[in-house]
Amino acid sequence: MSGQVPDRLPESTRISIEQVSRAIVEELQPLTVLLTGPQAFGIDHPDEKLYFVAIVDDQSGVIEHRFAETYAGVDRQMEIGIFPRKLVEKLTQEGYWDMVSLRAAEAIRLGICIYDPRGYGEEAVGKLSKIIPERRFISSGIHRMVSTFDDAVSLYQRGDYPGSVLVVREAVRLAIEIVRKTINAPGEASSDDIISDFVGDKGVELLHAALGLDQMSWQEIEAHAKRVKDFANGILKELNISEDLLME
Amino acid sequence: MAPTPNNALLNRTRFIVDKEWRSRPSLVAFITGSVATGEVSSRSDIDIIFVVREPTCVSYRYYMPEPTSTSVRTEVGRIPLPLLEQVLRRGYADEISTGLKEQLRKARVLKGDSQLGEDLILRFQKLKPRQSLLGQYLSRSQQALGRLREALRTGDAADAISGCDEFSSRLWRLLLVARHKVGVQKTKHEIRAARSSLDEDTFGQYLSSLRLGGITKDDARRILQSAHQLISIVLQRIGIHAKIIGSGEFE
Repeated sequence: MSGQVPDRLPESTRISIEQVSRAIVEELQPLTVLLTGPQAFGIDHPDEKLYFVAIVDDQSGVIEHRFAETYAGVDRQMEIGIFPRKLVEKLTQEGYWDMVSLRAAEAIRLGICIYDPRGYGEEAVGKLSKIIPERRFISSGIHRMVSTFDDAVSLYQRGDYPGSVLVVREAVRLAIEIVRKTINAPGEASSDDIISDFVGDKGVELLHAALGLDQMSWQEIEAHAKRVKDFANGILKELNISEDLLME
Repeated sequence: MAPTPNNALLNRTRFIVDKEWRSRPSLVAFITGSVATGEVSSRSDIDIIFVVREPTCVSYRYYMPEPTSTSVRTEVGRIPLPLLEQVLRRGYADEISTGLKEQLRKARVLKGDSQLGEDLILRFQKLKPRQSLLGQYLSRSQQALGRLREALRTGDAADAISGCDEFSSRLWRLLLVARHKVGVQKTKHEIRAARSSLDEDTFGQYLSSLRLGGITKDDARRILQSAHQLISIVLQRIGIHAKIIGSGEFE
């Protein structure tokens, strides 16, 4: 094995990583095996998956993701991305071009080479660090936001206009969450303040338009909130759920 | 009777199924998603599921237009039969089991043991959510209500209206699971479930509580355009190119 699993990780996690890496090498004969995800930053929570990338010398261009509960004698959830060389070469030469390629690029960019006999992994990480300068693990949140927006567009194209609006509002809420995390905003900071700080007044204007707020006064919002609470009471009553349970 | 799937997509699907089957034979292969139901659009992907006997890991293979030569994004899942049996025994509640229910209830058998395939489709159509989903939705409703109250207290309009939408949505999910035994994970499935499970009046209440009554094509277009612009700017500010959104018509 080559490369250094972060010292900050508990010894048991480091042993598991070595074990999984050896099994991947034996099974796939990859060019390189990378440890990625939170553990590549030295962060480990027992409930957190282990993430690996294996780059294989395969010209098909087909990407594979394996989700295992147990592998190589290690009982822990893990995700192994098997990326063909053809994909990695395109990424290092041209950068990412869509959501899937962004996620692959990020996984490699964050990677620590734990098996890299020919230096292929180090070279790929180096090239991708020019395309994604900051070492951050953010693409899963971005993926949720973008695929939610994509769902909204599909509904719109199928003529389900209420559905598209319902779903796009969810995408907007996810965008706010991304900004909240990016700027490490305190929990009590409002969406308007967060967007205003990060994007400016134009962002707040767009946020209000996306939420349909540009056509509502505060009095109308309060009246709507009251109607929603009345609906809630009706639903709870019908389901025989005590109001107090929700209002606690 | 289900509509006939688009023939070109179906031919492409059969080509991939045969290719994958040759390298790793399975018990049965399904086509799922919009190609299976015939509701294809220009954005349709091809979704295939192979059921394998061995209790190995779940895996997905992705044929992307780049760098492979495929013209349509194709996802090939390999799901162990023991995992499907476990979901069928316990009911669905989490993202994986709900996703499997969504995919397999409208699947079509393409290759392999058709009796096993049809039996699995039938059992997934009848599959009920787990009781624990009620508790999950109730807890999410409580959290959403907490956020709504806080926003009403501070007078923040965006958070108040967003809180109303979120709270309503969670409550309707609670009703759908309690009264109609339908659980959803994704928002796009929520409105579909509401449309197919609620009577006309109640569906009207659903739309009204979510401010969706009377939404026209122009309204939706305007809202999607604003959201697209906002999301693009957010992505640019965090150093990610907005081309990943890939919905050019709303630029």
